[in-house]
Amino acid sequence: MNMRRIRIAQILTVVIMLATWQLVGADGRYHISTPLEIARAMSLWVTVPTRWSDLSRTLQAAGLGFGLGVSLGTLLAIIVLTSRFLSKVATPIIGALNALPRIALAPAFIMLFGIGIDAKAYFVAAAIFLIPFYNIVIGVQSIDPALLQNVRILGANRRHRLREVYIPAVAAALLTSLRLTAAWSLLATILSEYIAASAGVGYQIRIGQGLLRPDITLAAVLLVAFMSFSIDRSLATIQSRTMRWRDAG
Amino acid sequence: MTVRQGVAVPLTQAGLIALGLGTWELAAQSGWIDARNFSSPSLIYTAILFLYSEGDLLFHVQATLKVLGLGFGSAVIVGMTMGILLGISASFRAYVEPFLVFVNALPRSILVPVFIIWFGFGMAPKVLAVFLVAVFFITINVSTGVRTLEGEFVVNARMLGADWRNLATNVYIPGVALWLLGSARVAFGYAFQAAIVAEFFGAFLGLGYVIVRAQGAFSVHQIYGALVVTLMIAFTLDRIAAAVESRSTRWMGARA
Repeated sequence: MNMRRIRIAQILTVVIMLATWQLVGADGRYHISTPLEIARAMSLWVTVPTRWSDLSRTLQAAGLGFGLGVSLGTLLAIIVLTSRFLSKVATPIIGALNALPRIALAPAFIMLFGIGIDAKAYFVAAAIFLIPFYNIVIGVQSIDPALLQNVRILGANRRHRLREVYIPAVAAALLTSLRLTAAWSLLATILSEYIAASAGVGYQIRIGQGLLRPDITLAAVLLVAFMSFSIDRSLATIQSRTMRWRDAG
Repeated sequence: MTVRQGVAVPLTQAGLIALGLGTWELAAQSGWIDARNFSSPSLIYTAILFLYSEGDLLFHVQATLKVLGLGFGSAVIVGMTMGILLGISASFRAYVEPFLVFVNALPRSILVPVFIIWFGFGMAPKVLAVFLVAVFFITINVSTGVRTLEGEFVVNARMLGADWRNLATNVYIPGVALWLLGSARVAFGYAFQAAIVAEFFGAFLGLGYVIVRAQGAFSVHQIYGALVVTLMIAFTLDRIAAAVESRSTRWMGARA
């Protein structure tokens, strides 16, 4: 395998695709816009101050919803995990809820809470809280029984087991779930802004669609992709830093 | 587990659900919560009956299932082909990888507005969205599957005298089918979600449209009614996928 040849083939593919797009799009007959127009539309996110407030609204709603949803999911998981009976009762009910495309709840939340930032945060929280919940419940349930027995043989009481086994397991599961949760928080915010809002990145996507301007919409979508990519990378870094002790074992 | 415990769990579940629904209904009837905002189980039931008897509920369900079937079906075909190619050829994998990473980072379900501008309001943008959401799960899972087969299994089969035809029928096809089924349930859940979301973005058909239409008409009961129908369909599909998955992977348990 020749790495240099592959790199050249990749660069060629990108150049040919962009060039074709530019040529066909510049014709203006197909409403596919052009890469240059998209680049211009993206630069507006840097230069136009009203776009900054769009961005900050989206991030606020996503951040609030993320915090709310993660706290709710963690709290619920801890409650369910304290009793074996409770976790048996709750697991299938929550499994059914998990099968529901929760993102479909957006219109219901708009009806209930309006179109403000708090309404979006509630919706985001409802859309995501099952992710950390599920991760924590499964993480704790899959603790190696041999580990628990070993700890018990070594004389650990309830408090020791909590501190040395359960809390690290919950923390690890929570941390793993955060990447997925963050991506969905952003997506849910964008969707609810598309459906009803007067500002925000999702609102700009809708504007682009209404104006038949794919460049505006695509620029906003690429911005979302960039944001979720950087959030994901930083969470992955935090995760690998804090989880380093695991590999040592 | 004793018999009593075996009954206690489902009984508590049914009791909890009945209690929840009953409280909701009573609270709405007595005016303690505003039924115009929070609806009530009986109002939702009436709304579902209305949507059904009006004649268009089944029609919209069919539309959603059609989008889901077309998108997911093509995702399975393309994902399997791509996955096998990626698993077999290391240089193809190296070539495709950065593109996969890029497209995978794109929030694909919110690309629907762009697809609508490009392809109009027909089925195409929705099918494309479902396809794009499902195809990556399948591609990545199948290629991982092929790569795990590459080692021990293939070497052992070769040593036992298998030619490429034996390898294909006895190693690759069962192996790939297994990994496909393993990813199908998760991919299907996301695909269903993508279908509903795609119908939010300016559509005239499907369950997602029924939900948005109800919102536009400020009809709370119909929103909840459509959501309940969506939940029931999602739950049924998920149960079917889970049954297929556990039946086809049962033999694996024997190995450990």
